[in-house]
Amino acid sequence: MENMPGHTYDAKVLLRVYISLLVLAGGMILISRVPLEAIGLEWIDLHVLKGLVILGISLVMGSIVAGFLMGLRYETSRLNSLVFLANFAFLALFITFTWADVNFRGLLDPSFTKQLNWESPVIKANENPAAEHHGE
Amino acid sequence: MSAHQENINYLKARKGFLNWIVTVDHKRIGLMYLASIIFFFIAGGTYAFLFRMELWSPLQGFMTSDTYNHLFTMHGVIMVFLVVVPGIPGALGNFLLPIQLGAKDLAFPKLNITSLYLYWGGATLALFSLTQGRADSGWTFYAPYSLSQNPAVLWMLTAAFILGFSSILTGLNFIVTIHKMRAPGMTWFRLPLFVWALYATGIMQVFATPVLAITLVLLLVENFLHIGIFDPALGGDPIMMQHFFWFYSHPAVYIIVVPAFGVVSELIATFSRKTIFGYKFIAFSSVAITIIGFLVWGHHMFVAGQSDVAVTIFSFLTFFTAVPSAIKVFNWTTTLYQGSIKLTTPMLYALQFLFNFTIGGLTGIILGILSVDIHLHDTYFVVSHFHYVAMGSTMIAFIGGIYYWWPKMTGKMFNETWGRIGAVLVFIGFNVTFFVQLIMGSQGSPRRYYHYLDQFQIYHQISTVGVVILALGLFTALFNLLISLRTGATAPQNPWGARTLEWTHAATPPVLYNFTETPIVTEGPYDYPVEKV
Amino acid sequence: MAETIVPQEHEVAHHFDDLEQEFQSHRMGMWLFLASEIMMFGALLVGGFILMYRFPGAFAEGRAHLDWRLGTINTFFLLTSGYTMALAAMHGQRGNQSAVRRNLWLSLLFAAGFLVVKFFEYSAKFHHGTLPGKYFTAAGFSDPHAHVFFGFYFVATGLHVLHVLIGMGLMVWCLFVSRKVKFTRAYITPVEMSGLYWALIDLVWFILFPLLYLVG
Repeated sequence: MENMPGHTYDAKVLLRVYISLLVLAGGMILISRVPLEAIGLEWIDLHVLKGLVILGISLVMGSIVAGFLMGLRYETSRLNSLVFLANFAFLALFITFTWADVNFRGLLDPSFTKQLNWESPVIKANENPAAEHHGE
Repeated sequence: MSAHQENINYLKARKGFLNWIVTVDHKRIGLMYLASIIFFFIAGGTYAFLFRMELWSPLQGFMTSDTYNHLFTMHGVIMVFLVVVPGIPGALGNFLLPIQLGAKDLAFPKLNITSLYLYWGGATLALFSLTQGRADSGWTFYAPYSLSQNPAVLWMLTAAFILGFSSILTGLNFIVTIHKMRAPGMTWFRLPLFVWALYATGIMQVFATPVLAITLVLLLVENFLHIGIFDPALGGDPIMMQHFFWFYSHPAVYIIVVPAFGVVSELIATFSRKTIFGYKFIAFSSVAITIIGFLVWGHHMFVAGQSDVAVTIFSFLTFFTAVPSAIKVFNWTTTLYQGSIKLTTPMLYALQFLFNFTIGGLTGIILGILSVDIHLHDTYFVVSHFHYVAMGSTMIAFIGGIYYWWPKMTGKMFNETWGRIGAVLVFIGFNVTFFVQLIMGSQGSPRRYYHYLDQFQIYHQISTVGVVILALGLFTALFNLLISLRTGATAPQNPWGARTLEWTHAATPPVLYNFTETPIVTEGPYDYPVEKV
Repeated sequence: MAETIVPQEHEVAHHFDDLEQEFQSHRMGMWLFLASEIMMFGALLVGGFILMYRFPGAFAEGRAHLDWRLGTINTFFLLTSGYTMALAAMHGQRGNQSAVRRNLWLSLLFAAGFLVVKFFEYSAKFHHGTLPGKYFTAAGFSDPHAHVFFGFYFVATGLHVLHVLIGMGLMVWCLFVSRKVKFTRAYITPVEMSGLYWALIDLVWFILFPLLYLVG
């Protein structure tokens, strides 16, 4: 088995992966759907964290899929893992900088509001086609 | 296939038109890219020539303002998506990458021809859009301009989407090839710098282009369903569209220019007959530009209504791009120092590149300064800046590269005298055209104007004269190459005395599988014998 | 009939040296392709998060109109088909051609189940008029930007469904290949690559599902 390409799939591991994914998905749905008051746990206040916990679980599920089903865990070189992680680095940059724009609009100049409800000049022109044809 | 056929040159190995269309040979694919790109370069150039003529007078000349808007949109779309982005990787990269690595072909030959088909498909759609009306949104497709349901714009969006996939597949193919297909002994630091440049380009193509794809999809959806993601009338945010667009299109600027860095590194090393100065610095600065290229997209949107926080961050980060670019320029200049320089045609183009790129790069820094940019934004200064990069650097390096590798591709030597005349004409024409635009822009002349102020007429006229010289130079260069196909002398295996594998180990023109036997690499790509004085 | 075709051992393509180089190249190529897919979906999700940040009311209201039970069933379908795809690869390595085919059919079945549920979800939305943009006709929404949520919902799930269809196409292709090529421990490339692609579809759903149905 020395020169064989790739890793050998193992039935036991696959089954464990499958079951843990099912459990995690179930947990995600439970957290989202079952109000804590109903099971006498009203002293745990998850209000804000709830969303983060759910997205955290989905992240764990994602890494299990990437690691086991997609075989990143078995790679001899870390190249493909690097590619995978680079994705998230780039996306993190993307959302951070875009958020830095959306969130801070109007900080210095209050006339620039966060919500840009500008009238679309195109729609305006389409509604009033006569205005388009100025001296040519 | 018989052994005889494997040792025959690739141009003659299989005959017939159909064999060219369905080939998976990277060399033929490279040549087909080259022909297509030259075709579209002439098309895009014709558009530019026409509206430059129109701008001779500040009033209406021989075309209406609508035609003018249409022409500069077509010029932008064709030049960006069909010429400079696929240009060097598609034509030179496809032809040379496997040979420079010592491989028989790219890792995925069928995928390679697929990306050429996608290129042709996208190009066809772009041409088809001409019959559907007049695309007038500019090549940037800004919302809400592009949301007018103009069918020509919609077809153009689709074309750009398909061309994006062509670009992704090329980049993917190159990265895998560089990682997995190197000949024995070809270590990472024995790779020619052109390969390093293609590697950096590949990373950007794979990671940035999909964002363009989703942007275009969202624009199409917005056009048909009005979902209100980008359309301000429905609660959407047009600035978010610009974020999406420039997250791709700023790296795209480096997709355009980084391969040119690679070409120029080869030319300068060969014609100075010297080991390139600071090999690792040039190689890693390509990669560094890649990374930094992802961090600075917001500098295209300084006056668009972005928050002051984002604007400040982007301006700050923009200055960092100067560092790797400057490292390269200094290294090339140092390579020239005390080299035995031969001013052949390719070398003339390489030197032009150094001159133009320095101007293009420094004007970029000027534009990155917030307060200055508010004055210069949307003026001819910006136009001139990116033409110094895209045309003055990338296309010049591309032409230099074509001249340099022409003997290898076709087996024919070109006429050196006419080549030099062409190069000089291109240099004069280009700088006359665009330097004057820097001055005009710094005085506040806005770009894309059809009726402009009388005071700028003299600049516009100088620029138009420059374009005529430039066109003369480009056609001289082109016809010189075409004529060499008929009358050129047969090229020897290594006419320039270069040290990379395509010259030292591959026949001219290369055989079907590039090498008669796999080369074993024992030295670096620029190990010229040191001549003691 | 096709039964007469005896599956052959795979031969290494002319420009590769050995199986290992070929397999690793394919795997890396696939990963880079997936990377571009992730960037595409990722950028869409970035847009989604920004929209959610700008219109929290519209997202909360829209979410309340989605049926989380259907989403749960679909999550189960995708999870299971991902598992059977991995089993197909495992049996391929063991040279068990018929088990490969069985698992590919099972994966196809679950994928089709996903589409059926999605069909019911979409048709319910057409019925209620909770459609994107200008086609939004549903009554009873208080937030003026509720149509943005459904616009995003349809774009995101639509793109995902498109990928499901492509993934199913790859499974069918694997079924064809399994007639001609014998899978061994040394060669399962088509199944492995389709499996990678299918796992990505799973991955995207694991983000889309909570984002659209569960959070908040």
